[in-house]
Amino acid sequence: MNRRNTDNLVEDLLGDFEYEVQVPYLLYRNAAQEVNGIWFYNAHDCEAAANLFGRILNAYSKVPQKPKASTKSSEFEELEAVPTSAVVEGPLEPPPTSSAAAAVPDVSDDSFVNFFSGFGSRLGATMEDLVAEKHVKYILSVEKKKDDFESLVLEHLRMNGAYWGLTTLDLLHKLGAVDPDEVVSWMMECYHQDCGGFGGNIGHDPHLLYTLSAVQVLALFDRLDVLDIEKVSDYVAGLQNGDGSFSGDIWGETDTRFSYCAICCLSILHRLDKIDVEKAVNYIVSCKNLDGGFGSIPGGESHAGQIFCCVGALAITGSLHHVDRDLLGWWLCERQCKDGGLNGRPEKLTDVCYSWWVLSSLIMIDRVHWIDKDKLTRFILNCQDRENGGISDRPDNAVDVFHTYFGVAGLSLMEYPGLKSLDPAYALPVDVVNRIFFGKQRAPSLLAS
Amino acid sequence: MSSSDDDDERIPFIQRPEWSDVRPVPQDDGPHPIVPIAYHDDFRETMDYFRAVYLADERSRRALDLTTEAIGMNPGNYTVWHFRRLVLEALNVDLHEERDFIDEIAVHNSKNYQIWHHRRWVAEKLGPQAADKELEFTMMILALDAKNYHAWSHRQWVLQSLGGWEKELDYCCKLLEDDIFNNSAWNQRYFVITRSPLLGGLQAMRDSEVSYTVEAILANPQNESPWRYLRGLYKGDTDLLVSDNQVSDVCLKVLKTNHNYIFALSLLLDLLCYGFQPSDELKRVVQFLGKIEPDSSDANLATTICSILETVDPMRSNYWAWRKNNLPSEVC
Repeated sequence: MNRRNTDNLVEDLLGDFEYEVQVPYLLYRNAAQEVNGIWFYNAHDCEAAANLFGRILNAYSKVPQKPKASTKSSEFEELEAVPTSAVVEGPLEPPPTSSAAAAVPDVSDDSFVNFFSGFGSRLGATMEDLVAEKHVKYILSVEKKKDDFESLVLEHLRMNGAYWGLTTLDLLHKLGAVDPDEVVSWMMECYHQDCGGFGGNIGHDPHLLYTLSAVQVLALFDRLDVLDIEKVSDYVAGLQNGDGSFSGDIWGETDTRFSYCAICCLSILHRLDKIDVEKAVNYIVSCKNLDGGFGSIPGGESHAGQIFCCVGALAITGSLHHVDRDLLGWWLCERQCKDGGLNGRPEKLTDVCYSWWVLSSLIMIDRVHWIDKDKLTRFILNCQDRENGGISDRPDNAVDVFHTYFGVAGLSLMEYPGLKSLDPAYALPVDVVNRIFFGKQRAPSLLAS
Repeated sequence: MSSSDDDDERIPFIQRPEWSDVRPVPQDDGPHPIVPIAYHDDFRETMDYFRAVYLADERSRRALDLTTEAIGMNPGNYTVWHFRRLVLEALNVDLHEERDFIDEIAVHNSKNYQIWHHRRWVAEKLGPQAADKELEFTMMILALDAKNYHAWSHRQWVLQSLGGWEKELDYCCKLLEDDIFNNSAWNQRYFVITRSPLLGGLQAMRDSEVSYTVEAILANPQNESPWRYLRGLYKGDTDLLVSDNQVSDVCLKVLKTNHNYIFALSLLLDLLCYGFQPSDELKRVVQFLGKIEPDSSDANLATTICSILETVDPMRSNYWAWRKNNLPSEVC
């Protein structure tokens, strides 16, 4: 009984149903007169679930019963695989992992949906500001959480988590709350000296996803000098395949996400000349579809996450002329749904992470004015947990660092006041990118790590 | 081998005689962990033992079973999967068994990149004889979630690398019958008609596909996918798109219903920009929608369409305004 499992326990709250909270148990009796107790690891979650029951029952007592509208899209929670993320590994689900990729309701009855999204805003429905301080506290607390099963199962991608959390802090002007030396020393323990790649955490195998995140984090702290740049860039370049595509690691998984990782990483390291850029570009172009979008492989369905990767890689290599900006721009702006949020493909649910992938793509092709920014801003702000900080995939779901980053990043792209500007291609603050490309030229590092 | 299915029955590794020679290795979070973690005991223990065999590079049967347990607890841990592959290779395990293992765990982890990649690795090794099972497997996953991106990628790879195209178009038809809004199924349909070595290619399939698509559009004109699919059938050949009456006809039919006509208007707009000459009937219908006097000299059709769209699709009003300001000069 968890978000990952498609065989969820289903109970009819609106039938003969009674419940009682006895932390850490939520006891209930259903219509079949069965008495069950749901054990919660976290007392707060137990109470939150009980509150949700209460609110649902309360709301239903006010709303006239409507016949269930036929669902036209997937009935499963929108756990989209997020391709990048900065590239992320693992499905997008709360607790999230990879981007991605990645909620059950897909009722096509708008007033029903609107009723609940309004009803659920945690602290009163109308405050529309960004609770920046709370998000900072949330991110810092994630780093310190001790009793957290979610952190446990995500330990293999902590490098991505570091990127999301630290970049968000920087966007909120709070990168100074973290000690760079601690971060860098941990990161270098994730480095594989024999091959030049970074793993997701200490003791994990090297992979392109984590190598990019590591390089991005080092760029944030202006500590790229700790790298053996030749070695790292050789590792990345070595993952290019004959057809121009990139594998994520020695095991050969190929995906346009990895094209982006490689190109972004090498560009930051000023070593793009180590790969065959023309072939890399040609491969990406072969993944372009007739709707103007891009998939993970040639013929793969256009998906906003993959589009970000492809457009980003093309932007970085100066190859945006391959993109039909008007056609793709239209496809991208069609991702905006009635709730103001963005989805990743036609007829899928909206999700805060697309605020990044769709928006950054639109900016790179200079078509961002084609979406309704106000509505998207409100959607993102509604996904905040105003009490505890953090942002979730959609209103009233559990927050995670992944969505917190994408929500804040999306707001930054829309020039929300108080945030640092974010570069849409490098997914790093603009001042960091400027420092990389216009700062003091650094000679290739002679330091071995 | 201990089962990881039921926590009540799980025997801690420390109590298992077959593991008594191994010293577990705790997670090293570094001297000043930036994200210190307190682990669930079972999980911690399993991962401590995994780390021990991983660092010792022990490629044994018990190591394989250990990776099974570790995967059961956290299928996202890619390092465990890597090591599992090394062990499978070292033990020369029958990969049909491995495929069965993936069958069992994939259903509950259908959006996990590692599992899909592992599946592909196994299928590649099994070769073309694996095609049927792979198509069956993806079909099973798609039955639970017909838009699972991983499943579709895998399926496309199977078709192109291992074959099995015979029933693919029928499969797309079936999925679209289940849910005509399934964009992934429409994408796959396009994949099949353009790439299948058994069909005649796009040109040969075009007429039948246009009929199919028109029917889908008329049933649900607010469905984005068939409209895009329709355009795709002309693959950038705008002259063909403009000259095929079926295309303008479907726009007209939808517009006449006065309902869900946004995509119809936008396709008509594009047709006009490509040089399409609209019939009087079409002009009248659009003018009616735009509440414009018939025979008004102001009736530049394309401009009217843009204005209507700005009103009925306000979310994208900037886009429609841009279209209005960027109409080719000779357009109607």
